[in-house]
Amino acid sequence: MRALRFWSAVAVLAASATLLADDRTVLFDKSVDFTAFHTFTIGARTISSERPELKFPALAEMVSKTLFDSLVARGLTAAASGELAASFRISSDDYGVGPFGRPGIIRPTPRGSSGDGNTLKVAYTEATLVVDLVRVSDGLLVWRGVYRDTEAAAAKFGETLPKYAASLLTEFPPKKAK
Amino acid sequence: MRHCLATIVLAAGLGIVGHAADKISVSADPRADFAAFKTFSIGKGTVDNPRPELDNRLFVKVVEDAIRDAMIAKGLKIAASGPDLMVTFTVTGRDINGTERGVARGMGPRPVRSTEGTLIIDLTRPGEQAPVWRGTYLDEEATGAKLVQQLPEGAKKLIDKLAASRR
Repeated sequence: MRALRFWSAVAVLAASATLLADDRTVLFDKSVDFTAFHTFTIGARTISSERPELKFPALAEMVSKTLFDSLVARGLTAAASGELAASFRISSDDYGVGPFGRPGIIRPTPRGSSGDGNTLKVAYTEATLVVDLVRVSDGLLVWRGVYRDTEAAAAKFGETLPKYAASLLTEFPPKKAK
Repeated sequence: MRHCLATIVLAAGLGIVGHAADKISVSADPRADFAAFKTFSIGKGTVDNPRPELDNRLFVKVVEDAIRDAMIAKGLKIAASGPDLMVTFTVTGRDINGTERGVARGMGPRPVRSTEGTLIIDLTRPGEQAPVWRGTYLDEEATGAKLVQQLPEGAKKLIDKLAASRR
């Protein structure tokens, strides 16, 4: 009976993994010699989210610092006008679960409208972190990392997003295909 | 007991792979002699999807490379000028919010989200507007990362179908 309970729990967890699975992608230009880059600049940061937890200024600072530290750890030097410009953007969507179990994005109520048009409560928030490395000489995007994370408590993004920024940059510089 | 466990694990497994599905369709102009096409050139690739992992030049290049390699593997050659075929492609997609039956009786429906990507490859004779061949690959995956892996694979599968048209 204990085994049955255990395997039932495993099954339920595995089945819900599709909804909660983190989504991570790293893309890079195979024709670029990444060993030729020695300096970088931290560029633009954009937060487009309605969540106060994501708009919290210290979060952008932490992600920015993580990018800085990760690139320095990879042997690059910060410079006022570096060869690479590292930028990031964070966006988010709130999801509610409807009466028949269907998830749906909760749109913010437009300014000036009376009352709250949303009938769904926020069940979880999906945040997307995009880290871009652009070759400054020609403005070409040479590396991109994307991390999409779903959390029931948006405050958790304060911990997870800087961690994910570091995790994406573990794949920089990209390994050459054999 | 064993049977019960196997059923539960299988149900969970199906829940995971349930929305990893792809569809391929190919349309070819019956008047065109595909065996006569020997060279190609890759034209514009466009992405009409706001997902950051798809909407960027790096992903366009990955798809472009997959198409080029697959066509070369099928015996076609790249032409610097005057190709027999111009290759263009488009990637579109949408996010899907749905439900699936609960894994056990009495659990009710569970929310499921997935993302769908469609790759359309068109082969056109230079100077013509209408393509002589169109391949469409539709893939639904649980994550955008999977879609990034699968769409270039889809390009290869489509070019395999082109080889069949050339016989």
